[in-house]
Parts: sequence; C-alpha cells; structure tokens
Amino acid sequence: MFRSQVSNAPGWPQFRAAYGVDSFGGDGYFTRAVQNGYNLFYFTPDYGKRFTRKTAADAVHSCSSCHTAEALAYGLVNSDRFDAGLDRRVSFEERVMRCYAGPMDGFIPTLYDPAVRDIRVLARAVAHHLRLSEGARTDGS
Amino acid sequence: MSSLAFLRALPGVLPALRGNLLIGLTLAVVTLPQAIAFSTTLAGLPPHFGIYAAIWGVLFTALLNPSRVFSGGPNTTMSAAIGVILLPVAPQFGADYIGYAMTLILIAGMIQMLFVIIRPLGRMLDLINEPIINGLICGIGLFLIFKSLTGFAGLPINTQVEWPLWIAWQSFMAVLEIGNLYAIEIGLITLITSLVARQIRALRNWAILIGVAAGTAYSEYLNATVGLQNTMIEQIANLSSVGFVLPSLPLFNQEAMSDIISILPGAVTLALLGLFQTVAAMRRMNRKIGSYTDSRKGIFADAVSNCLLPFLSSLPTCASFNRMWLVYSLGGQSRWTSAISALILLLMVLFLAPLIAIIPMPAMAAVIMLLGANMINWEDIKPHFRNRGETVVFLASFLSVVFLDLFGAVVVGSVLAIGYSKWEQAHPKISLRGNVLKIRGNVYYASLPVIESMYHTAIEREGSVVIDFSECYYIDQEGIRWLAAAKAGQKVAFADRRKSDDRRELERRAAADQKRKSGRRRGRTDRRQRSQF
Amino acid sequence: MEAKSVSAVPAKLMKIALIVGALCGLYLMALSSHAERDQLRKASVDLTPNCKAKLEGYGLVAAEHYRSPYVQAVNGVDSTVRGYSEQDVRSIQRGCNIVDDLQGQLAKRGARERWNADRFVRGTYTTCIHCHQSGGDKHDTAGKPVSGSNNLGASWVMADMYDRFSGLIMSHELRQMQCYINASNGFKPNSADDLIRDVTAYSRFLSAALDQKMGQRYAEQGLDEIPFSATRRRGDDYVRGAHVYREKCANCHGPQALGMVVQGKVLYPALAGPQSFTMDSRMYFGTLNSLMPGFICRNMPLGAEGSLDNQDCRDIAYYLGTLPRPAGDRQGPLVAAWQQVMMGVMPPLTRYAESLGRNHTEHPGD
Repeated sequence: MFRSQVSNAPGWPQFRAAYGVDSFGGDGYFTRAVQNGYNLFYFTPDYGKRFTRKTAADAVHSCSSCHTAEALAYGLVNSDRFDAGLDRRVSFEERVMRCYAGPMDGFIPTLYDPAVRDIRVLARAVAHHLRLSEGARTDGS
Repeated sequence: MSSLAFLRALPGVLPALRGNLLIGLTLAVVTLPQAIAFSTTLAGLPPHFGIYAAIWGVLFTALLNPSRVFSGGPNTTMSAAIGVILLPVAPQFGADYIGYAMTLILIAGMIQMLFVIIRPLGRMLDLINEPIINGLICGIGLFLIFKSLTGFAGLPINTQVEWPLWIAWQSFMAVLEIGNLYAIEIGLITLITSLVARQIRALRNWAILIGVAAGTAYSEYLNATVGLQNTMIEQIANLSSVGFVLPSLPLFNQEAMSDIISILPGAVTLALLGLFQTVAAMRRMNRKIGSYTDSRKGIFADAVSNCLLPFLSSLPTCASFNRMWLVYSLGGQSRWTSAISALILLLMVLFLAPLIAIIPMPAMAAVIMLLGANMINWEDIKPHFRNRGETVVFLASFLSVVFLDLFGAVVVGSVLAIGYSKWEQAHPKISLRGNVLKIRGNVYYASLPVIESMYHTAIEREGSVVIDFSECYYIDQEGIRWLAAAKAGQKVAFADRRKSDDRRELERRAAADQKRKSGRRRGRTDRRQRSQF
Repeated sequence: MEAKSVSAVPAKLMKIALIVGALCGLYLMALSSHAERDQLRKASVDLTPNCKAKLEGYGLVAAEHYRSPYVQAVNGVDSTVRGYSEQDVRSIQRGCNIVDDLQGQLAKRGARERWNADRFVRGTYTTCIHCHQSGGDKHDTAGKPVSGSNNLGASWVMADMYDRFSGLIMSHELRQMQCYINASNGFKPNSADDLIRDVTAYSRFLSAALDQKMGQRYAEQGLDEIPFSATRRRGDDYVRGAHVYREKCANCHGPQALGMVVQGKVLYPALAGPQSFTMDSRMYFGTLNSLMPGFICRNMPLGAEGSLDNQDCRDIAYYLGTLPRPAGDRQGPLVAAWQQVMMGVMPPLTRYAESLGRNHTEHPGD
C-alpha cells in the first residue's frame, strides 16, 4: 500500500538523536526530508527502488555501503567544484545522480526528485551538526 | 444444459475472440508508450500510474459503459492538468506529490459524479459545442509541445508555478544553450523515426512505438559507449515494484488541508476537462458511425472510474475518440478489446519491465510533442472558419488556453458555451415582408429587444403590422405580455396559425404589395435616368 | 486513383525532408550555442570594479588551499579550507559580476557575459544589488557584515528550508529563481543554467570567506523586519505613509514611486509599477508586512539611514503596497491582466487629476 507519509526505518530515532536533527524541529517539512534522506541513504533498495537495481542481498546495495553520513556532509561542502576527470564543474546533485546510475546499477533521477533532494538535505543536517563551513576538509583543518 | 449451449456457441465466439485479441494487442502496444509519457512527462508521476490507467482505467470504463464502442483510458489533457495544478504544491515524483495527485483525482471523480446525479448539470455539458472543444484541444496541443521542451533536452522543469506558454521562448533557448546534447539526439531520433513511420500506411498505428524503440536503441548505444553516468539520460527506471495492483491512499489529513483546499479549483478543472472530452468524443463517434450512445453513460463510467482509480495508483481516465475509432475501424468490440488490452499490458509490464525501464525520458518527451502536434488538426478546425460565430468561439477558446491557465480556459470555455447558445437563442430570424413581421425562433426576454426594434420599424413604415409567430419554437411569459400589449395597440393583427389558407393569402398580398412598391421605385429610377440624358 | 497516390509520394517525401531538415537545423543551432557557452566558460573574466575589490580583498586565487584574510583578521585564526581551481575561480568571478551588474551594462560584450540575464528580467532597471547591496555582502565601517543586509553567503548556508510562500523546500537555486520571478518581475532561468550555478558558486565562496557554518542563522542573512509589535501600535496608515513618502522618498524614487532613470542608468529603482517587484515578492506589504519596513528603516533614506521611525517605515511600506504593481505567478493570469491595466491607466490618470487639483488644494500637513 502506498502512503505519502515518510516511513520510520530502523535506526532513525538513534540517528536523529546522534546528529541533532531536532534542532530543526520535532517534525516539519525539513525534518521529514532529512528522514526521507536517511531512509534513502541507509535503505536504498527499499526507499529508492525506482533508481536502483540492487537488492538487500547485494553486498553494495545502499549509499551507506560506501559512504558514512559524515562523508556525505563533507561531500556537500566540497561540492560544486571542477572535476578534472570530467572536465567540468560537478554539483553535489550530479554526484548523487551518478551514484544511482553507477554503483547502484540504477538510473538517473531527475534533479529535483526527492531521491536527490533529500540526500542533500540529509547532508546539510549532518553538516550543521558537525559545524562544517564551505570547503571544510576531513582532516579537521 | 448450459455447458452444451456454451459449447455450441464456441465455434462462433472463437473467431471473434481471435480478432479482438489482435486488436487488443494493437491497442496495448499503442497505449503503453503514451500512458508512460503522460505519467512521467505531463503528470509528474512515476510511470506505473500511466500503466495502471491503461490497464484498470481502460477496463473499468469499458465494463461500466454498456456501449459497444465506448473506450476510455489515460488522457493527455487530464495528465497535463495534474502537472500544472500540483506544480506549486510539492516537487514532482515525491511521495507528497503522489498523495496530492490521488486526492486531486478522487475529488475530480466526485465532482464528475455530481454531473451524473444532478441531471440538469449533466445536460449543461451538451452546450459545449465543437468549436469550443476544438479550440481547447488545439491550445492544449500547443501547450504540450512547449511543456515537453525541457524534458526533450534532459533539463529539469522549474518546480514553481509555470505556464509553459509564457516561458516557451526561454525554454527553447535553454534547450539550445544548456540542453543535454545526448538527450536532444535521442529525442530527435525518436521524433524523426515516428514521423517517417507514420507516412507508411501499414506502420501508422505503430509509429510511436517504432520511434520509441529507435530512441531507446540509440540511448543504449550511448550508455554502452559513453556510459550512463556521463550521458546523464533519465529513463523510465525500475518498474519491479509494479505488480498486479498497487493500492494507494490519497493524502487527506489535517496538516494537508490548506493544500487540498488550494487544489480544489484544479479539481473542478480536471473534472470538467474530462467531461468535456468524453461528451465531445462520444458525440463525434456517434455521428461518425451513425449510431447513438447516450453520453450520460460515458460520464457515469468516467465518474465511477475516477473515484476508484486513485486507490489503485492510476491516472484518471476519460473517453478517447482516437482509441474508440481505432477499435471500431479494426472491427473490434470495446469490452473484449479493453479486457484483452488490459491483460496484455499487465503481462508486458510483468515480463518486460527491464526493457521498459530503459526507455529514455527524451523519447517520452518526443512522444508528447507528437501527440500535441496531432491535436492541432486543420481538417477539424477548417469548418469553424466558415461561420463567424463559430470562428469567434473557436479563437476565444484557443486563446484562452494560450493566455490563461487551464482553469481560466475551462471557465472561459464554459462561459462561451452558455453565452454562445444564449446569443443564438436571443437572435431569432426576423423578416419583414410588407407589413408581415415573421419571427422564426424564440420570443422571450432576451430576444424581445431585437423583435421590438423590428416591430417599431414596421409600425412606422406600414402603419399596421401582422405578427406571424407560427414558426416560433418557444414564447415565455414576458413574450406573451408583450404580444398582448402589442395587440391592445390595435395596429397589430396576429397571423392565424390554424388557417393556413389565410396565411397564404396574407403572404400573397404582401408579395403583391412588395412588387407594386418595387415597380414604382423602378419607374422613378427610370425617370431619373432618362432625365440625365 | 493510382496516379493520385503516386503523385502524393513526392509531396510526402518533401514534407518529411522539410521536417527532418528543420530538426537537423535546430540540432546544429544547439551544437553552436553549446560551443559558444563552452567558450565563455573558459574565457577569462573581466571583473566589475566592485567585484575586483571584493574578491581581491577576500584573496580569491586558484590554489590547492584557500585561506580567508577576513577570518584571519577578524578571528585571528588561520582557517585553511579546500582551494579553488581556475574553473571554480572563473565561476565565482562571473557570479559576482552577475550580482553586481546583472544586465551587463559594465560588460564589454553586454548581457552575453552575464549569461543573457536580461532575458529573465523585464526592463533594464533591475539588478541584484538593489536589495543585495555591496554584491550581497555589505559591511559596516568596522568591517563586520551588516545585520539584515541580505548576505548571499548566509543565504547559502541556510538554504533548503521550507518556504511558506512557495510551499516547497527552497533550495538555493529555487531561491534565486524566486528572485527572478518576484523581485525582478521576470521570467525564470532553468535551474541548470550557468546563470544560477555561477551565483551559487559566488554565494558559496562568500560563505567560505566569512567562515559561515552550515545551517547556522547569521544576523546578516535576509532582511531586518519591523513587525507591528515594534511600533506604538497606533495602526498602519497608508495616507500617513503617502505623506512621509512625499517628504522623504519622492525626490529619489519619484512622486509615483516609478523610480529614476537618467541617461539609461537607473539611479533609484522603481517601487511600484511595471519595473518593480511583484505581488508575490516578500517586499510587498500584502505578502509579508514586516520585511519592507525593515529594509526601509535599515537602509533608507540614503545618507540618512536610521532616521525614520518604525511606524513611518511601516506606513511607507503600506502605502507602496497600495500602488499598482505586477501580479506574481500565484495570483494567476486574470489578476495579472488586471494589474497590467491598472499600471497602465492609473498613474497617468492620477497625475493628470492631481495636476488639475494642484492649483486649488494643498495636501493637509504638507
């Protein structure tokens, strides 16, 4: 049965507490987008099934198989930069779209699809928790 | 006994079944790419909504309508309306958006049900004449072409209020300047292949499918050589979650109340667009095949379907003349072919899902452009330009779509429909021959000003008037009061409806009078001419 | 019959050839436009004087690391973040130019250098710095960002919040688009357009230069607001506002708030009429009644900032809100058409009527 409301995936209350999502409100558009981003990030075959051919049985099946939430946040603040391999500037959204198509053996979502937007929103929430500024590096400098 | 009867009937049934099987297959193959395109490119919903509309929508409308020819299914205009109405409410393809879409369709279905229950309301739909419908359809055809531009070039649409015709130029420039070249190539190949296929008679019905196949093949070639991560081409994507049915719950809760209220005018628009098209399609079909099916039955089928389909993750449906004509011209029977096409579609989706998943979105955008262009049909438009009234109505309807949004266009169309019919009624044919004022039409409050003007002209000229209302269709109370007041003036006689001899005598005398007067005028003219020389 | 079908074939072939030819022509045009864009992306950027000063002040150079002189000076901390490549630097430079000179009046190649931004704004008046003063990064004499100065970097770090006016989670790209629709009364660039992406790059650079943290609210973000509660609660009065406007604002913004343009250069922007912001804009009193008063009190009159009373600012904003202006997208085409008629008819009519009455009537209180 399809329902519009965001589902409660396992581990969400702990994630929410650990990364201070409640600083954006107990509930609300933004918080729900963060939650949807969490669902997509950790349970991609269930919540992003339209854009991936992977199933839970595959070794690499979700974004979290390769990335941590912190890495996602650092990825956001270091995005929108020139990529020598592609010879152009690449946005965060494009990186997410390329991930769906490549490692997830899936398809390219449209730019404003919640499957992309909510990953960015999740990254933003984590970046806020980590007090990252633009261009922050993982070595702490 | 019954099984024997069945067995005896079987030899007669089997050939019909085989025939309908082929027609059903044709219908399924023709509908599938369109349904997916309507869903993804126009309505902003995942592809299975279009597919379920092509399965359940087609099946419901066929079963709920006793007509042999009626056929409903997913529709361009209604899908486009959903996209336009919900654009300011939520980002497309998201869970919220889907919930609101289901709510929108359900409310539209309930509004359509009112047209079934309240008979006079349903009767009002018959006032929507062909110029209005054709004007709306042409305008929407143009809208579809511009709406597809961004999808054609693999660009995101702007997720705020947007009336594509206003920003058509900017969209076109965006396609040229920043469009994804791979997407453009795929779209062009789809377009060109479909256009060429359409020219070959045997392939006409399959043209869109052939175009989509060509576009998909090229897309796969690009993905194999350049890589999907580099082409960044959007595709239909994974349909593995699509099964026999996917139940859904429309979004209806306290916090969504303000958004639901804001989309209510849109629900009215959606309902009316569906009803207009159903009535027009059935009217046209009736005239084309020389039979009659009450359009009320079509409205009933639409309304019930559109109340059920939101719970089955489906786009709304309405009658489609093209689909009905296709089935009829191939010799099919709508219920059988609808059932068969629904089953075939279901099997296709279940077994060919991986193949459908790789269809590129630019190909879908190209399909929408083609369908939009097909909606602007000069052969349908041409007859309206032979009559001034119809020309005005057609142009007003067309321009209202171009310059106003769909809601405005529906309002203008409805107002035009009522206004046009009232205008026609309020201008009866009035002739004055001698002192006989003959009225053909209605004598009622709106036509009286026109009648009275001619009446007073007649009184001034002739001194007395005979009012002949023997060919009046209708006289209301105000008309009766006026006639009584005119008679009381003693300069007026009424032509007696019962005595046709007297009527003929009056006409003969009026004709003789007229001849005498024109003879005198000629004489004066001749004398004037002679005096010049 | 056969003769007819045979002669129809060449006609059909011609038709197909024409259509295919036209489509191929469009494809070639697309290739050419793409090549032109690529060239512009690779070209060096001529900075406007303001941008040159600003970006040099922030030490923007292509390098592996970036160290903000501002952060060093203010915080005494050597913050090293990821550096920018040549392409990133050019994008940031172009973004600054767009904000500072939207319509390319200072550009050698005109609007082309600003990614044809003039296509998306109506008229030649509008530019971002009318509201985002000093290139979206206004500092006071002490060198600190001014509170309520519409700082673009602060806007970037606070993006992706829910926006009640559009009913969407507002990404930075959508927020820019809103500016084009509402504040500049224009059309929309596509969110994938370089026009949007370069301004995003510039905003992100500003946030790096100022060491702004993600999701943090900074005083320089947005505009100061003056709600009703910040006044003596005597009620907003547009007639009182018209009086204050005539005294304090009309000399620059014109008696009918239509702005002042001298020799093709906008000296003072329009606050009403077709060149002004729309009814959807947050600056419109009817949409959000605390924002325009805040802007007025913070920034106006030029040279006498802070001289107006809170109530004066609300009254002026209220009065400006009563003047005809373009409808926004959400008002729909019928209201838009009505507003167009009102903007065309009312100002000249009022001007004429007032000129007749001027000899006989003085405004009370003038």
